[in-house]
Amino acid sequence: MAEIAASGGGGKGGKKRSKKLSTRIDMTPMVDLGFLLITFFVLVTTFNKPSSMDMALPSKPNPNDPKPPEIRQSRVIQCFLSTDNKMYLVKDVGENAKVDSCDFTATKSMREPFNNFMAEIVRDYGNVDSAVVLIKPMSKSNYGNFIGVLDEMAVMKVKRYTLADGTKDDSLMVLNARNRRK
Amino acid sequence: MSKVKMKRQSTAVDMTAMCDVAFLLLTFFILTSKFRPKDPVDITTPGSQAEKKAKAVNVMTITLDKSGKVFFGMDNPMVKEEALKKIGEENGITFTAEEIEKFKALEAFGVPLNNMKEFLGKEVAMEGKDQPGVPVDTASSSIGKKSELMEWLRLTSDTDSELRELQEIKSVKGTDEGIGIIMKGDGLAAYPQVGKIVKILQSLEMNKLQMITALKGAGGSGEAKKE
Repeated sequence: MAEIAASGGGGKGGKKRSKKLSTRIDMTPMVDLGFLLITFFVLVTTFNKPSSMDMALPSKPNPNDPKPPEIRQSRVIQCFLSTDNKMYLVKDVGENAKVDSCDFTATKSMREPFNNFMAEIVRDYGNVDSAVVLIKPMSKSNYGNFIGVLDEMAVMKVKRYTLADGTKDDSLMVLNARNRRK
Repeated sequence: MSKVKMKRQSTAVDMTAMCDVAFLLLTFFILTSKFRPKDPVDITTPGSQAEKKAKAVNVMTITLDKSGKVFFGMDNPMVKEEALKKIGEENGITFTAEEIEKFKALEAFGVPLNNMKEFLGKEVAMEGKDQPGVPVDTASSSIGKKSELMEWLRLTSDTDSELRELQEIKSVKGTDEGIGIIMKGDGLAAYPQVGKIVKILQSLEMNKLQMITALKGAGGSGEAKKE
């Protein structure tokens, strides 16, 4: 198939008989190139799919539903997303409230304060799954931080977390916490 | 004793067949690979460690850009056509066949419904950054007291389930389950807009949302990258 019909002596009037060259072409580089391109396309098509994060939104509250059981505040960690990639973590409410802050920049990740609170919950309730995390993005936060928290939840295997609205009291609490830290 | 002379065999293998196969496969992959749909605007998705691949077929996409503009897109042309007709009917706008064709070619759009006719009539397609975005809340809606994004979501999902009931789009891979909702947001987009979209989805009982993120290595944090 790859042979090209030999074009005889050709040349100058047939007098001088040129040496018959082989018409076989070495296909190896071409095959190499072919497979290289295949590899490229296969990889590109599979890696092109963007990764995604699933989120189940809480369903609309129905007035006929039975009242949900109350959760003890001491096992609730609230995450307030604030401005400048900052986040305030609040465990418990009222007098017992503990506030810690962290940053979405690499300098101070949320792992440490979060793990401290988690350790307290484990101490009081026995296991990690007792923790309930409320994510409350405030009006000045951004989508990136929101994704960041959800990602942390997935990484730290928090089972129960949900998105909640920040109330006015919440923003006051965050404001107080911020002033206290200054 | 006479030596038996072995015939020397050539070690060169005929590569022609292999070459043929390679290029055949290459052609196949090039032809079947689908280009990633172009985003109407530049979006820098926030990073996460989620590795799950997003649903790619039979989806509606909500794109949220840095400034909070919302673009809405569907991937199935049949759904696009029917959804456009429906939303037109409900709001007293009739679209011509030409306009519908143009709409079907769109990946995503970001114009209010009352500008849709004008937008589709344009000779040169309007660039994403010039589009005002689909109105999210009822205050900025161009179709009365309904949220436009909500109407689009509702009608698209209705259309999809109707078409699937008629088995018109059953042959498409991935359509056995309902239409998926994908959100592609820029990391710097302000949260309140996200909150509004979430509220709309909740009120429509669409409780499953996939958020597109950029894959990043372990140990990072969710900082929104500034350009």
